[in-house]
Amino acid sequence: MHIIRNNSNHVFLRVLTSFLVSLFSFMIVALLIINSTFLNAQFIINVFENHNFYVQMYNEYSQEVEYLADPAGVDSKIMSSVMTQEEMQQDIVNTVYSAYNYKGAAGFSIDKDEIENRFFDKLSNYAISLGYTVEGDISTNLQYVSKCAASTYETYAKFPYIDYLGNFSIQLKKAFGIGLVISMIIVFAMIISLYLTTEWKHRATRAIVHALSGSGLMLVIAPMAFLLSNKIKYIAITTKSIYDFAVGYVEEVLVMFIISGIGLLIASVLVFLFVYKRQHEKALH
Amino acid sequence: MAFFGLPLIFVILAYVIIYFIAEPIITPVSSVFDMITGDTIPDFSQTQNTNDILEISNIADQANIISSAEIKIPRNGDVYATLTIDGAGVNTSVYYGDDNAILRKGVGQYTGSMLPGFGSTTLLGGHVNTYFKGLKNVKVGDVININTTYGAYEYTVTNLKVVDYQDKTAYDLAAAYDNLILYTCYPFGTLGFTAQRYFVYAELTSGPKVKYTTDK
Repeated sequence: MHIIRNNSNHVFLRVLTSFLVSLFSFMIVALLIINSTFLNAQFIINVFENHNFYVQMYNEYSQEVEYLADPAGVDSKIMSSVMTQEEMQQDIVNTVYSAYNYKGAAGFSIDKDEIENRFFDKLSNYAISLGYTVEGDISTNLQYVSKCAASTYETYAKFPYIDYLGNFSIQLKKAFGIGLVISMIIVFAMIISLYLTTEWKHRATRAIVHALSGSGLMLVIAPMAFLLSNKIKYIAITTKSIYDFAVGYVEEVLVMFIISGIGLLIASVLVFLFVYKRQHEKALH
Repeated sequence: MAFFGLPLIFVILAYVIIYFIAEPIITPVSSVFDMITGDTIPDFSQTQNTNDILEISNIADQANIISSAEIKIPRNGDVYATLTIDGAGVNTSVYYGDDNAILRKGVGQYTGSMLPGFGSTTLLGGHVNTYFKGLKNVKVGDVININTTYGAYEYTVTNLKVVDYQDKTAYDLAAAYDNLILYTCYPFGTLGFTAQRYFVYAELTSGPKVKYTTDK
């Protein structure tokens, strides 16, 4: 193996290798973050929990279903008491997991008929308590209210665009996995070649330090700039629950990039101090 | 120096390379992002009641004409008038727009119809169990008063009709005279969503005319 000595060509080669290690390390971390966030159903569930999504979504659904009560001549609380927040939460979670695990429409679907029947039973009991007989026109009218209420529930419990996100995630996962393996092989090969071709090992280590801090800065600067610009908060979503989710989702991904970047920067400083200390000790001896 | 300088150069180089490689993705994504972002951060703390303040006035001149430029045209969700039918038990606020939230607060004007005084049809809808419960008591010849933020209007009921909810011939929004149509679900005193609608037709008997102008 040819040993790189310290002339300008060799320095250039070392810097270039260091840069490539830096770029591919950045890619590895970025792919890992995207894999554990955008392509991960559990991450969405965590964002729901962190941003009080279920409560907000249930409140919005309750308000919408209560609006149906006014034209139907029904007590609004009757409408909102049919489905509980826990049931809606479970349906939302099932919908998300299903979208991320089954391609197409093979996954979980909300049992609208069952929900419609529950609304109808509740409304029928209410009508009977008011002295109505639930047959003929009244029965048909209440069935129509139940159908609308069940559709309203489905609209809220089936998280918007989740099928598209899920399908997108399933398609990308394989490509991301391949990209991750290739990047790891490249980084590993370059680090080995850097040590094998550099006469003074501390210089190779210093090149790794530059690569690590470079990747760290790449992971921090752009996400930090986007986060501080607050641009995501200008997203024009009119439903508060969805708005909070979307902003929280993007912000949490950006924060993961920043934390990972800071982690790499700290690692590079520690390696630098370690190299400096060893050199200093050698000089003393 | 190299400890700080080289990584910074790496960052700039990497961002440039990534930009050029991912440019076919970055450009459309950024265009879509621009399309879905507004100029202001959405404010969800705004309560719906901010538009519920109603100041009734009459700004007509001596010839009982109002310049359209002098009228503050309501936005969706604004209350702009009161509606009363003495003897029928109808006394409610009139909102511009007729979505679910509005119909919970009063009666709502279909935004595809005209405001009173503008020379065409004003179409107002309300729920049968709340604000338009009293429509069942309305008779031909009854007087309907609508007091708006720009003038007071009086209509006389000319006809009452029950039609199917899909019957679009029940109203003429292109009529060339000032008229008022009120509608609600039918039959009265039932439960659930019904397939029929109850229409009350009225013609303008007094109130300022609105003249289209651009100057105040």
